[in-house]
Amino acid sequence: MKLLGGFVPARWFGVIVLVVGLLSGSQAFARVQLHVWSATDTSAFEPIIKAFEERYPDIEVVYREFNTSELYQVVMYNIDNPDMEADVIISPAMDLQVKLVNEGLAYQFEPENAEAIPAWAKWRNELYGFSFEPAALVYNKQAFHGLTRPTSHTDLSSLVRDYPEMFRGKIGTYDIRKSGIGYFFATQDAIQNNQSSRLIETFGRAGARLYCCSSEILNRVATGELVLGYNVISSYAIEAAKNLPEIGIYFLRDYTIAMSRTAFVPKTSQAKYEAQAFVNFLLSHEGQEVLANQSALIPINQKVQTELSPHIADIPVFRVKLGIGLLGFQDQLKKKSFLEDWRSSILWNREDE
Amino acid sequence: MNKRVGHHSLRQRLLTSMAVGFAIILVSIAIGIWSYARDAANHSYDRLLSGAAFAILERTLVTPTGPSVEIPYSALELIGLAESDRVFYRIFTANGETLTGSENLPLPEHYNPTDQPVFFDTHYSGEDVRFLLQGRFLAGAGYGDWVVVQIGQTRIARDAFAREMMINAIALLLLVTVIGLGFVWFGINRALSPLIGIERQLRHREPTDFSPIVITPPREVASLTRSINGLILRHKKSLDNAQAFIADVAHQTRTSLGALQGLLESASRQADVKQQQVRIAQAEEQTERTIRLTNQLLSHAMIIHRADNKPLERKVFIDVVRTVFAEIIRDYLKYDTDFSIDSELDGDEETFVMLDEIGIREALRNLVDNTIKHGKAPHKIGILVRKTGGKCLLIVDDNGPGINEQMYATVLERFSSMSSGSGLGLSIVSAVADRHHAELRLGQSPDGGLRVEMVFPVVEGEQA
Repeated sequence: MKLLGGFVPARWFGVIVLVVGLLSGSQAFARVQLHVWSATDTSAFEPIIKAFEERYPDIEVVYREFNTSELYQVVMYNIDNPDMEADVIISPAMDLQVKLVNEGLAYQFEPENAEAIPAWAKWRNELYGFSFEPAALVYNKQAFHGLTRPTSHTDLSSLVRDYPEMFRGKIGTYDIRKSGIGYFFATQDAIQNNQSSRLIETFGRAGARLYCCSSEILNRVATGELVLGYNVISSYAIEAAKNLPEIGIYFLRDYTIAMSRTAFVPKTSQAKYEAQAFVNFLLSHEGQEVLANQSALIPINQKVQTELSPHIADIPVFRVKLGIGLLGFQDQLKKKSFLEDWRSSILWNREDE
Repeated sequence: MNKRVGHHSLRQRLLTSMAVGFAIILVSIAIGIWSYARDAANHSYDRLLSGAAFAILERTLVTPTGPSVEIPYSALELIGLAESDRVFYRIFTANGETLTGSENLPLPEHYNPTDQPVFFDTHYSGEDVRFLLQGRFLAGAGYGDWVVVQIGQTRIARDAFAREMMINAIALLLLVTVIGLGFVWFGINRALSPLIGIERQLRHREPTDFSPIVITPPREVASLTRSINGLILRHKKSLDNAQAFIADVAHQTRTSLGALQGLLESASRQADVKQQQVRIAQAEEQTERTIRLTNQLLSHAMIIHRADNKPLERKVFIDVVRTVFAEIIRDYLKYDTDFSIDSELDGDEETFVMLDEIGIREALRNLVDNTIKHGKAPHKIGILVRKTGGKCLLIVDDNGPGINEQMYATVLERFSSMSSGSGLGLSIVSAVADRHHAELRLGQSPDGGLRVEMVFPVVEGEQA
């Protein structure tokens, strides 16, 4: 496995350049390179790539990590570029993925294990969801000691208003202008909950802090710099909680939005066969087991037991369906006005940080 | 029903023509269904597009900075009901300024904004796409112009819908066809079963069984059954005739040869040479009679045989009669006989009759023979040919003893001679007449003897 950066000016996205694994001399030249561009933490994806490379010794995976919005922009920017290196594109932002596929970028194929994917997580025989990741509430256990945990979004709103001192400047959530997955969760909140703007206003009044990524929020919750993280990707949260016991994970009981990390093979791929093998592997029982046991990610296959299973057993999970509907909030005008509303709510008396 | 090469099968013919008919119907219906299915699919999915367009147009508004639109979430959800289809949209003003959506969607030629929906199909982004254009006149805040929403949807769901309708309809049609052909098959078998019944009855029949076929036939095969039964009857009669004839022949021959043997024996026993001479003369006479009998039998058998095997030929009637008569006159020169032939035919060269020349010769020869045998010299035989209507008459008069009117029917049978002689002569004439489909009439000749009239049908025209 190889981790690469470059290609687009570095200010677009921060890429970790890493070369992992020793390539034994003679084999190195024979191996086909498979470029996976993904908006997934490298650490979360590493075990899958290792397992895949063991299974297919002839394929070398070159992994490149992006932020969701960056990935979308890079791919859209290279829409007509036959030299685009990507062979598999993976992102948790389902709306952005649908938009890319709707542009006709994706190569159509039927994976071997397609029937194991629930209908909501596949589209057009082109876009396939392989993980199941609800949006979680994370909190600092020490700070929350003695507090009744909120059960609904309205409860959460009241709680923040009731303890202004405790939450002032200590709520963290995505800066949805920069994070595609943050925007996706925020828009799904708006669809599910007509009170969602009030929650954002409450956060704004409490001086909520905005971050690009789940990891930033999680680290700060662990140290106590934040007491609450809102709409954090649960897979990352569960993984972080293993190492950082201060982190508590919680799902609201009125509704919890769940997304699926999706993958597609671009038409421009030069290694379609290997790319298909990779997607097949992600969806296979073997791959799903790797997700469940070795990776932070949570498999979509309901037959594979996960650490998450007990947490969400009785929570009404709203699974966002892949499809044209997701384009609604990707309309330029609509996005502009949504972001404007959001900005004025969350930064009501502040300037951009 | 055995399938033999070169034989038509009614069943196959019926089935084939029905199958061809069904196939033609199937193809024409399929063509109709395809266009209907396409229309139906377009209708259904065009409504999704229309619904979305309405929802979007409803949310267009004039803001202080110009026209704007807020695409409702439900609009795209609605189009998303066609699950696998990609969607493209653009909302633009009359002067071509894009408010939101994909900048470069294709437009039909000469599009003018209207509030009527305009649908068109085109190829876009690598797929077949159906587009809808619908406008709304926006006014307010000093602004007044058209805003147009364009929505395009790939044809996957439509085509799948049309295909499914098509396949279902064709499957149903095929089923109906197969059932229909099954009914045809069943019907043919039902219809043919009387024929199979007849066939079975005939096949299992003993050679000696001449009873008629007993089935209750449908109208269509009743006449066939009647014909077969008629044939059986005729066959039986003919077989009976043949048996009686053989019995008669055997009897006659035995009697004749017995008489001959008796005469010869008595001649050999006579010591007196004179008496012996008398017996031998009698034996000679008997031999002659036997020969004549044999000739007649052969002649009769030949007539019957020819009737079965040789077709009649189209001939000029008078020519044949003259030729045959000339031949007979030559043969009977040694008898003291006055022959005459006369024709009343008008343009006799033109009168054609279907004839068997040998049959005519045998008939005339036997008549002459009879006259000489039964009459007294000098004999007189006159032939007259006449034409009445569509018939041609051959009249033979003699000056023999004639025949009593009550005996006419009897003498036409075999071995019914009133005096010595075999009695075959007139029955041969009768057989010849039958063979020519000619009517045979007996009467009295002007000379007091027998008149025999044979009435032949005349053949018109040149063709045989």
